[in-house]
Amino acid sequence: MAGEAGHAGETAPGAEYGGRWYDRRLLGLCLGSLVVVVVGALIQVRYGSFDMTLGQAWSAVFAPEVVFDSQAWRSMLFGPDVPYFGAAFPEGVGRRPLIVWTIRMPRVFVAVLVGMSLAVSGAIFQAVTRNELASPFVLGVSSGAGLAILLTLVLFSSLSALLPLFAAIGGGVAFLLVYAIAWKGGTSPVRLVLAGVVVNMVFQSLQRGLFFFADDLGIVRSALSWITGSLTGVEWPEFRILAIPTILAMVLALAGARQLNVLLLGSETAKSLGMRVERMRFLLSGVAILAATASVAVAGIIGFFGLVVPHVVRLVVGSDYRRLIVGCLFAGPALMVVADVGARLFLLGLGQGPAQIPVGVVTGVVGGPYFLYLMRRTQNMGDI
Amino acid sequence: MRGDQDFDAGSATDEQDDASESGVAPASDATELLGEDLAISYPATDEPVVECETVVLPAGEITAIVGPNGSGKSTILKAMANQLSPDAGRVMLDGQQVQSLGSKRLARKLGLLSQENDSPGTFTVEDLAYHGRYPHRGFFDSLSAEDHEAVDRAIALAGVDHLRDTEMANLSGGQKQLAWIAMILAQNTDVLLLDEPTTFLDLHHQLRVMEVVRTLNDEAGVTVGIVLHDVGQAARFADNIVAMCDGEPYDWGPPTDVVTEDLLAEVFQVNASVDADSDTGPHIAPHHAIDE
Repeated sequence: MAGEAGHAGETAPGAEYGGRWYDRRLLGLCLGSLVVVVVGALIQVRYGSFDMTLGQAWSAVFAPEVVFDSQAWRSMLFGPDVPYFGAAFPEGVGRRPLIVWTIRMPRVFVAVLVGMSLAVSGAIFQAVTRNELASPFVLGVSSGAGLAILLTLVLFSSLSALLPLFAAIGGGVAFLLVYAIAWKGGTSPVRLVLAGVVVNMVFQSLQRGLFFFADDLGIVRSALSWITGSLTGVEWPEFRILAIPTILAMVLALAGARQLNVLLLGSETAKSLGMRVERMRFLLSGVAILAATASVAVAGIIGFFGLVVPHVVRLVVGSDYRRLIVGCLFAGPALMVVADVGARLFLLGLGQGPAQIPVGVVTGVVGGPYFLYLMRRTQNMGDI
Repeated sequence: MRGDQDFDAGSATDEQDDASESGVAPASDATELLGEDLAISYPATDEPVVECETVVLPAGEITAIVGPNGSGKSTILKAMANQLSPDAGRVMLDGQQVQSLGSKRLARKLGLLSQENDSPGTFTVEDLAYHGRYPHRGFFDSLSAEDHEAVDRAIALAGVDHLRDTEMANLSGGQKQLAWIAMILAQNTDVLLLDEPTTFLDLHHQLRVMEVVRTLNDEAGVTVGIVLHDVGQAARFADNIVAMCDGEPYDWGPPTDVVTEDLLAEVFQVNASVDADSDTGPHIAPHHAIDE
C-alpha cells in the first residue's frame, strides 16, 4: 500500500475523497475487462455452426453497412415490429454480417448486460446485508422467479409468452415476502438472510413438486434451462427487455455508492450520521432486485455469478463501493461473456456437435471452486 | 410506515436547512441536551430499562455518565441520541424535540460514537473521516471546500494526520478509535455523545481520546456527553457526573460532589477511599468489592 500513500497528496480541487475514487488498479481492471469482452465477443462470433476466420469475424462485426447504418441500429435496439429482424437490414448486407448481427452479437450484448446486472446486484446485497455470502438470490429472488417459471410452464402454459414478466414478478414478490418476514420493527441483516433461506427452501420444494405435474419432457427441459440460467437463443428482443431496467439500475447503483459505503459502517453508525437506514436499505435492495429480476427475465437463474464477481472485484479495488460498483460494471460483463463462450462452444470444441450447455452450469462449475479458492487464500474474506 | 412520513417531511426540511445553515461553523452559543420523564425499553424487554425524570447535558460542558454494568448508562445515551425512541418522555435539543428533527438535520447538530464500530479494512482513515460529512451533503452533492476543511481539521484534532492514508485494517485498537473520533469530529456538531470510547484502549490512547474531547470542548464549546467505565477518569475529565444505578440517576453534579466514598459503596459496591483534594479531580483508591 506504500505506493498508494503519495496519491492523496495530488488532490484535485473538488475531487471526491481527495481524488481517490479511482486509482490505477480500478483503471487496469476496467481496461482489462474491456479487452476480455472484445476478445470474447470475437471468439463467440467466429465459431458456431457457421464458421468463419478471425479476420472474417472481425470484418463482419465492424461491417460498415451495419455499424454505420442508423436504420439497422434502430431496428436492433427499438424495432419490435420488424417480424424477421434480418429483413430490416438494407440490401447488400453480406451473409456473415447478417448472421453475426442477427444471432451472435445480440447474445454478446445480452451477456454484457446480464453480467453487469448480476455483479452489481450482488455487490449491493452484500453491502445491504453486510454479509459476504449475500447474492441476488439469497433474498428469495431466485426461488421466487423459479417458482413463477415452473407455474407458468407447467400449469399455465398458454401464458408462456409472458414468462419473462412472470419470472421478474415472482422474484420481486419473493423478495417482498422475505422482507415482510424479516420485519420486526425494522430489519437486521441477519434476519434478512435467514428469512431468505427459509423462503428459498419452501419455494424450492414447491418447484420440485411442480416438476411432477409436467406433461412432457420438452417442458421439463425448458423449465430446467430457465432454472439453471441460459443465454441460448437470446436475440435482440431479449436485449430490449433487459436494456432499460439494467441501465436504470446501474445509474442508481452508481449514485447510491456513497450510501452503500455508509451502510458498511453498520446501521448504528449510519443512523447516527443521519441516514434513514431502513428506507435506504429497502431502496437499495429495490435497485438490486430490479437488476436481478431483469436478468432473470431473459437469462433465467444464473447461479454463483452475483456472489463471486463482487468478491473478485473487491480483491482488486478494495471495499470502497464507489470503486467496487464501477469495477463490477466492467468485470461482470467480461466474466459473463467468457462464461457464455464456454457454455456455447465447449461441446462444439469437443466435437460434440452444436449442442450447448446452459451458462449457469459454467458459472456454477467454475465459480464455486473459485470462491473456495478465494476463501482459502484471503484471510479476512468476511471483511466486506 | 413511519419511514415514509419521515421521508417526505424530512427531505423537505433537509433542503431548506441546507440553504440556511451551510457554511456555519459550530454555534458559539453552545447547545443543551435535556431528557425529561424518560422511560426507555428495548424491543425484547417488557419493563423499561431506564426511567429518569431529568437528565441534563449542560451547554458547553462535559458530562460523564458512569455506573456499574447494566445500570442503563449506554441506554440513556442512545435515547438522547434518538437511536432508541423512549416509551415515554422526550429529549430536547436546544428546545426542539430530537424525534421531530429530520434525521440528517439531527446529525448535523448531534453526533454519536457507538460503543462498537466496524469498518471495512480497506477504508483509509481519511475515507472514514469523509463519511462524517454525510449529513452535510445531499444525495447528489459533491464535496465542497467546507467538507475538505472540516475533514482536515477533524483529522488534525484527532491527531491522526500521520495515519491519514493508512487502511483501517493496519491500525491498532487505539488508532482505530482515534480514526472514528476523527469521523465524528468531521460531522461538526454542537453536541457530541460518546459511548465508552476509552474501554479496551491502552492507557496512552485512553488519555489521547480524553484529551481530544477536552480540547474540542475548550476550543469549540461543544457539549459532550460521555459514558465512561472508569469513575476515576470521569472524575478527572468531566465537568459534571451523572451516576446511574439500576436504571435511574442516583446522583448528579460536579465530580467533587458526586464522587464520594458513599457513592462508590452504594452504586459500585466497592469499598474505596476518595482523595477529594487531588488536583486532577477526586482521586479514587479502591480497596475491595463489597459482598452483595
